[in-house]
Amino acid sequence: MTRARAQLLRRCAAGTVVLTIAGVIAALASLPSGPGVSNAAWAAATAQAPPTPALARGPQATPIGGPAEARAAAARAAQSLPLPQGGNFNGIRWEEAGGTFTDADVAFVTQYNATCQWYRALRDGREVQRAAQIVQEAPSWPAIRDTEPAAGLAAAAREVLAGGFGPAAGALVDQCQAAHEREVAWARQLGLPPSS
Amino acid sequence: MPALRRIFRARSLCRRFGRSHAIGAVVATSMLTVGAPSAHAWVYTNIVDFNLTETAYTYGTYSISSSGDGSASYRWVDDPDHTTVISGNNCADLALLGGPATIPAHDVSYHGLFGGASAGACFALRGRVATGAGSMYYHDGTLRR
Repeated sequence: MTRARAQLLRRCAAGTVVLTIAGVIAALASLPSGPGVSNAAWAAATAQAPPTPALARGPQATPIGGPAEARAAAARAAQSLPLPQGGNFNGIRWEEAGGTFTDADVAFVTQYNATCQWYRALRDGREVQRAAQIVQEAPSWPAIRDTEPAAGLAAAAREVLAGGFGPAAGALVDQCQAAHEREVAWARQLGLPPSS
Repeated sequence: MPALRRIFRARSLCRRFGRSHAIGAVVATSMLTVGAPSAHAWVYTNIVDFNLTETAYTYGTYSISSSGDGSASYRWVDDPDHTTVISGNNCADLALLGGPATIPAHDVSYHGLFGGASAGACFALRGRVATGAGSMYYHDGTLRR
């Protein structure tokens, strides 16, 4: 009986080893990539990711200077971008971010910030008709349309068009509210009127 | 006839033996996978030619994925020869999210930029080399979120 079992073990051993090795390989392949990720795995993972945002369309990435120049450019943008009554870009933390900014940076941040102001207006029942229209247009604004976050704004806009704040629009307005609270504090710190 | 019976019995035993070991292998595989430190389906983006000087600048704007854990991390994929400072800043007001990651020269591991963000949260990827480190050109990285 014992000899028969030993024979059986020998006969089945090869198959078992193959199965176990296949299992371990499958398990390793399913692990998340870490620092030692292979080039092939890296390429495969990034192939599924959205493309790197291109700034070729819309505003060009021309350096305009530091925080002071960016703040001045944002103030100019406030004259041409639609904003709800009492809206401005005074609370953007150019100084905290520091460094150098380009035309494209200022255009993106101001257009995204304006979108946020309109989402808050919509939530709060201010200029509702105009707000509902502008949040539909925002994902295709020049500095936003070719970036990855445009997809999130488009998803939120679709929910608004369908008649309410779904998960995407709800999360967006929460993020906008958190940003607005920081903006109010920053503007006041600089002695500037905060946005509505 | 007894010989045939022996063969059939042996085959049947082997099938049972193989099946039980196959099940064992599958269980072991599952345990390995479940026991992995983080099983999130991260979204990765190649950051090509993240050219840095001592003055911070924005490489691009990104969103937190719905399949990750609400964090964003960055690593250099080619050996960086300078200490670098990489950050994620909120898209709407440029507030710094989390602390900027200071990545020592020659470090190619992931460094957390921030965590706790909700899916879809927009952030700008910004970077510079450490003060006094000059500049670093044509190095590539990976953004994970």
